[in-house]
Amino acid sequence: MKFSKVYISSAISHLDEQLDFGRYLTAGERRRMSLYMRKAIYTAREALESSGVELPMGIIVGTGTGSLRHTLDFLKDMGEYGETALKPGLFMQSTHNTFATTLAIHLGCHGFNSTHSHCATSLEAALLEAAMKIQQGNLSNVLVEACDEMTSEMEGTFIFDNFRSATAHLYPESSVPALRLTDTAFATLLTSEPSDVQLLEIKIGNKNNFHLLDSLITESNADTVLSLGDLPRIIANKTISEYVESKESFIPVSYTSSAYLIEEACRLIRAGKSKRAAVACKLADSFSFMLLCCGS
Amino acid sequence: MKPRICITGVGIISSLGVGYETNLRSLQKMENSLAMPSYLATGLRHKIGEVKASTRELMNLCGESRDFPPLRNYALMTIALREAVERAKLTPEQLREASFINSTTVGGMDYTELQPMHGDFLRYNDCGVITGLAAEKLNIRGLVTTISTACSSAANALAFGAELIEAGETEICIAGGCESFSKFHLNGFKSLGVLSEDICRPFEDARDGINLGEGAAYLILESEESAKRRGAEILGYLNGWGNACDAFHATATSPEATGPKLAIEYALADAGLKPGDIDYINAHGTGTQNNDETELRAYREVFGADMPPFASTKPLTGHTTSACAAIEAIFCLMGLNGNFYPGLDLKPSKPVINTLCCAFGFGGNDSALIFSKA
Repeated sequence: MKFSKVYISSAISHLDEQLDFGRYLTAGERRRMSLYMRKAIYTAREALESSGVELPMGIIVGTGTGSLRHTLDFLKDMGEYGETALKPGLFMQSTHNTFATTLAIHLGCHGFNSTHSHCATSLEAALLEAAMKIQQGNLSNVLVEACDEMTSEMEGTFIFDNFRSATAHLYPESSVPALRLTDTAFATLLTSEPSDVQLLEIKIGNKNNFHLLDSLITESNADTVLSLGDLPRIIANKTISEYVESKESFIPVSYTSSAYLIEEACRLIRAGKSKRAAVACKLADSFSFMLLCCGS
Repeated sequence: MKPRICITGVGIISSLGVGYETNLRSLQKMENSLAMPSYLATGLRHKIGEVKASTRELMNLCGESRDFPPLRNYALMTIALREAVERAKLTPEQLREASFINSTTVGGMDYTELQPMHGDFLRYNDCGVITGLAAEKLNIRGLVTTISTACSSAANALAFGAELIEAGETEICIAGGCESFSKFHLNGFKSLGVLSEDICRPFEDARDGINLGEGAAYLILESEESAKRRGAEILGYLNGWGNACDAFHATATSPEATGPKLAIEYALADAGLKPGDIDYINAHGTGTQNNDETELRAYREVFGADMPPFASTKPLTGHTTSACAAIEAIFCLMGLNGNFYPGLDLKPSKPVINTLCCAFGFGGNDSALIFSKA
């Protein structure tokens, strides 16, 4: 889908750094919320603050795993104690919509609220819905957040295998960066207010139309292509390694790792290092493509 | 004026039975399908609305081989999807260009919970995995995604699908939801202490909680231009939708009913209708003290003296959580086409033209849809 009236006013992520939760959360909230939930809310608040917006018109979250720790804890309890005396708190916070609604409760936001949970394109689907609402004039801004809680159990799943096979061929054998399961906490405010980064296009596809991705990239006229996954180096001139080299010594693995590339694309455009940047991901059985450009 | 969203096909499976005709017959007879669990491997003794078949039987019904993992939610989805596609008479080419917006909360949990610490099982905790499998099988190449907003999931899938058509992204969108039983799901609601001791009694003073149910339902949404071009039969219109967040509590609704009220008001405004234009409400009506009380408050405030007949069909099917708004959307269409009030033993005194379908979820994910007679 193409857009002509959608801008990105902030894009912020956090990996493992220590955050001063007291900056945004009350003592009660800090006590009640899991570490991951605190991080998700902190990141969202930062994105809003840097956009100068207190209350967004809507909240859309993209999450593959949902609230995985609560889910697994409930399952472990059920395995251990059977079908009695299970903790309601774990179940309440296990549903995939728990991030978007907890954020709404924290902000007092009665606006549009939804959650997409669709493997490696969860974030892109959330961004697409938000951008469409702005383009159609239904909402003037939407907070979009990528929330993925990764636990060690995810190491045995296809997402990890996919990252491994999709990144290994991009590096000489000796310098393949480490893959590490990492929670994603990424927030961005999409808005109709012109700003320095404009969102031009989002395309999501599956196995049935993988072939489209190459032509989307070549026809985009992007001066920078940030990529993740099984894409030939010749097409993707900046892989996730760019991110690894600039910031971390490992590749953060989650369903929503494309968040880091979107953040990097925004940074390059703001710094004047790119005028038109594409983010292309091909993981598991799906692909996503996003095109961003200089907004002014 | 905004383009009208036509409904040109429906598919449904619920504890009332498989397919449109079976569900219509049971709905008109107000047959109750709730019983003690007989397919789910649980020791809990609460009446639930199970689809009356084992997972293996359902897998056979949807034509999957024995090598395919036994995914109950996937089977329910595929059975309802196929019916919707057949009823809309979509060709493989039209299907290829279509979008598919699914919704579920359970996802593949019925399979994950068999061996949750094993990666091959845990991957199905992602709601979208089963959606992707179905999209691949049907060779759908348009936008495919999965929405998960607890009990209002299917309403948000239908609204998103309609907006994709409005925005010109697609002409045809398959939208709806699926939810199968899993021990996780039933025990989760048990832990909240909200399961009814017998059959739920929505809006009655003596109501004591929910019966859970399972099922799947899909609607083929289509632009009017495309429907006319294809000569498709139009079963009704999705004329308006609203989404708001109660932003009050993780499971309870606010006493002011802020979220439900806003969702209904947005849907009315979107459809360009006044409260007095609504002829019937398919209420969320789960049967808990909290939900029904605040839901009634929202209706009283929005409709005042124009309160239309309303009913919850959950005593018939159980609460099918993520699937309920799609199942009940089809009940609304049945009511519009057969001129009756689903879930009410009351003959309409005037034609049923516009119906409101409400779905309110955990965390305050509140949505409302308006369906109109073709």
